[in-house]
Amino acid sequence: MRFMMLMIPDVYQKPGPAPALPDPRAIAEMGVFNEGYAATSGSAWMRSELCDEALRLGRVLAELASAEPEVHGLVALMELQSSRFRARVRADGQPVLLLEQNRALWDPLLIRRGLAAIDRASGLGGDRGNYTLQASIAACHDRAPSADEPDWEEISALYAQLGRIAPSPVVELNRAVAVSMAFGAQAGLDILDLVADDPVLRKNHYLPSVRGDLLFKLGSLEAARAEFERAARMTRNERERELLLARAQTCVSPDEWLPDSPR
Amino acid sequence: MGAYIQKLAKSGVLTATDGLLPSSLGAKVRLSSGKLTITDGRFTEAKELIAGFAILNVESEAEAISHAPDFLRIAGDGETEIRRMYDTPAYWS
Repeated sequence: MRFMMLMIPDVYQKPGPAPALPDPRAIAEMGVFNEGYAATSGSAWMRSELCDEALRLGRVLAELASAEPEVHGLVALMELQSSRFRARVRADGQPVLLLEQNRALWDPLLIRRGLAAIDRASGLGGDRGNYTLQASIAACHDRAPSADEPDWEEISALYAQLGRIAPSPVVELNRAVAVSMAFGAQAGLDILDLVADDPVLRKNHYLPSVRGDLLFKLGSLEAARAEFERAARMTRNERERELLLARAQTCVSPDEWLPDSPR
Repeated sequence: MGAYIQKLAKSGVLTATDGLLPSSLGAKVRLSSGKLTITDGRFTEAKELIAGFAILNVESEAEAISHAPDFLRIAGDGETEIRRMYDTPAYWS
């Protein structure tokens, strides 16, 4: 009778290096989530299955690294963004911007989970990190009594904090929007002027989109139209392009642009 | 170790034995639905790695097991998996 004996020493059975701080995985995950949330190209405004998977992994990660506030912050951010999925696209595939979304379509369970994850992150103490701040900003919209009443001053302050710990032209762009809501379109444009030459922002359509919006509010319709058209040329997302061209058209006949009316 | 192995080999119990170098010096070749993938070591994802083997020619599983403690004392802490082989070596047919 022949037997083979296989030697498996304990030194080879050690479970590998201790789990690294969650940052690298968290960042990778966020990349998956972001790609799913605003698909960079193609006709789908978002790819929800990518987001679902990222959220699932995030929840697992939060259990494995429960003492790390930023993991809860990341999960909170994903829960809150996922809660908007149904409100984020119209039946015809057109994207709906946050402030125009039908809040009745937001998923209350995901919102509750998101807010609870923020509380867990805050409960662990320390300064709020990047993800926790982003989640806190998202949560301002959930805590607001209605779509047009979030606390824009608080959101502006949160973006300012975020800009301090993670300086980025994209954060400044978002801060400009919040500041414009809190303190007027001109205050927002002043911030945009500071990042107008940023090489990252010059590559995508967000800067001209926001500039167009603020110029429109100030009544500079011709300048606004030029910005919307520039933005439309720059986006790779077909649905977004349609939306931007529609807004450019409203600069010619502004009475047709009623953000709150169903289109 | 050498003396023990020689004694066991002379008694006819030990047919072959050898040790394996770290997996960083090896590779994995995988066939999956006709598609070959070659991955260089080290096999970081493996929960356990084989470091050596011995082929024993014995009368029973119990006898094979009875040799395990000696091997383990030589190899150090760890475990050994004992598997029965076909009675006729594959290369005979």
